[in-house]
Amino acid sequence: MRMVKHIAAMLLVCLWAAGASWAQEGYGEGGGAEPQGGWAPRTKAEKSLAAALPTKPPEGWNLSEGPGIYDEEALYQHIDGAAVLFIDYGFRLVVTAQYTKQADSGLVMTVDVYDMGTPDMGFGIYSAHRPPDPQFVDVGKQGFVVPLGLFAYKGRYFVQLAVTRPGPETDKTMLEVGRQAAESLKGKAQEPKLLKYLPGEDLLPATIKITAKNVLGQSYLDNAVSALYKEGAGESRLLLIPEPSAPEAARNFAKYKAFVAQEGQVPEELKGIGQEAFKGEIPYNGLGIIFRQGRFLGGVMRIQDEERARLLLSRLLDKLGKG
Amino acid sequence: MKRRDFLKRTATGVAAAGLVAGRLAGLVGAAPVLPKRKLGNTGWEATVHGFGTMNIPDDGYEAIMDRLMELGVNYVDTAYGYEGGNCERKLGTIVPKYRDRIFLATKWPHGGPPESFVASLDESLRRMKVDSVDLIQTHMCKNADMINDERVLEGFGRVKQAGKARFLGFTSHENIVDTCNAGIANGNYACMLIKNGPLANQQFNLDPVIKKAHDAGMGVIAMKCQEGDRDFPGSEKFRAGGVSLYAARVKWVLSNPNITTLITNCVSLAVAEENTKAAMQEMTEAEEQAIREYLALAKPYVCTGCGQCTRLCPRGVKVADILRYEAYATGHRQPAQGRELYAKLPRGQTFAACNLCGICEGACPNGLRVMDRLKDAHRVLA
Repeated sequence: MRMVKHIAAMLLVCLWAAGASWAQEGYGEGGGAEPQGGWAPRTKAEKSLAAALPTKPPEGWNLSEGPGIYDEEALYQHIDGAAVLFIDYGFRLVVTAQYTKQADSGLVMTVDVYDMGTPDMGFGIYSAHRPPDPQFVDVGKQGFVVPLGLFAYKGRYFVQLAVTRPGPETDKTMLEVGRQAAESLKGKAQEPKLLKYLPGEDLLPATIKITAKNVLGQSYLDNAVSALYKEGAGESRLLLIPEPSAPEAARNFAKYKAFVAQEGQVPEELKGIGQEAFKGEIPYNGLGIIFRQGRFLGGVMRIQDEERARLLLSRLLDKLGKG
Repeated sequence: MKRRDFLKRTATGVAAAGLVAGRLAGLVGAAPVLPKRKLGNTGWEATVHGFGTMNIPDDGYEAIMDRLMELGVNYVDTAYGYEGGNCERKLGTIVPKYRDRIFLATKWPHGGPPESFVASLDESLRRMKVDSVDLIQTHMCKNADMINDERVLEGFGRVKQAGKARFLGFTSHENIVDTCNAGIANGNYACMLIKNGPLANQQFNLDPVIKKAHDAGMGVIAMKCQEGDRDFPGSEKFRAGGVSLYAARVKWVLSNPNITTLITNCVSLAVAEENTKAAMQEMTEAEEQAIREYLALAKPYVCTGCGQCTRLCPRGVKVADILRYEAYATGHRQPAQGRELYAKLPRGQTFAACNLCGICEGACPNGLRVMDRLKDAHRVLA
């Protein structure tokens, strides 16, 4: 009985507290909570991301703007039309903050930490920004610097820093902030699963890329991994597209073959490469061999030495066969 | 004055003549011609559709550029920062062969000393494998300070002297009217690149400053005519087929003769062709009606910041300001700033003082549901 009264009393207290808080949030005359300043991430995803921003400004810098957070609907307000690319790559959220050097108001550093949803897309958006000759740095799973910025990825996350003026001290600060951001992000620094299919021999690792949309200029081909391989004095391009199913892969293979035929010569059918394959002029990519194996489409393009290209394809198919 | 009426009245104008010539060619069965307009005082006659390169695909960008060149497009716009510079690198594989046929524009970031501007352009030229651009634009200007920044002008002076850029411009995405007025007054800017579309125009009333820039001899380049495209109750019918709101917006922008060219995001061959085709055509009655209907649907959801609500509030609530602070926060642009600004308002000017009389809602010329917006604002900002 005493327990029941105790519980009832507690319930009453809770109800009173809830009522008080509701009254505080009531609208109109006499209502309204006192507004609070500052920004606080609200959801679990936002909190996770926000942990990557510096807890205090780097030494010698002030927080000059933000922090802020943008979802897909608001991303255009932050990065304007560049939002399209991020959305194509599965963008979920970005947190951002801007810092200004105390001794020099013209020196500004912006920190953006993106949640791209999956490791494939985290790597994908990073690879879309990576130049052909990157200056790699040890940030996240992989990172590079350019004169006015730092880019890195770690699993599903993409970290981007930008400064208005380079300099040794600034570059050092950028590196420290970038490293700390990557370390603060939860989860393992996973590499996209697609990358495991790429044969290692002759691979040019800085050219590995995941393309989200319009692969080979076709609206029905998405999410491909590609890389350049040394081929004699030149380079050939390897491509692999995982489709949702084997029937869909078969349909898209036929569609692309018809497209190639329409653009130039009728492709030559090839035996012994995957379940079906053809050789032909790939628009803007020179001579190519395209195959289908199960739910995968793939191929080599810009072929200069067909024998080497077929060897590369056999290595790729071997890896696909192993799953 | 309706835009079409304006066009009819200025039929002898160069711009209108170009449009008419292009459309007459279409009427007599010849291949439609992409009209051209004077790009301010640059001496260039720019095609009314320009190639916006921001999101060109890795595969197929060459086909897009080749096709646009076939269609006669002669204006190409890019920027230092698109895909971390990889966009300019892609263009570097194809722009050089068309260089003498196009007006090439790129951008540099604001901020930093004059050397940083020069360095940024040097990188752009290196990536694009060209010796010069026709137009270098300071990106994302939002106030007079950025426009009048002596470092920008000094940087431009250096690159112009070195033959790396012929004209200076700026782009503006927010506080557009004030920024453009500053650009016009400054006198050093040959062109401005601003967002323009039916919804943006309704929200920011851009026509007067566009005309002012045109009359001052500046080239006015429009972008993002599809921006703000979102669904309002009833707008789903525009997605169901029939009139293409997409094409209608292209034509709507170009029905303003004070706009030189509209650059669109040519992300695929189909989009590039569709936009160029739309730019060759005059708006149909059905398209005009569709735009009117869409704007009517959008009106109650878009605050233009006119301030009528604040002026008429009997309690002294800063209604328009609160809605603006809410836009900062719900747009997530500057949630901290939105809340900070709200916190600075005396209690008597916040929603706490509102007695829900609804006068603000009755006063709104757009029919905005002000009370609902105020409640939402308080929930977010408090």
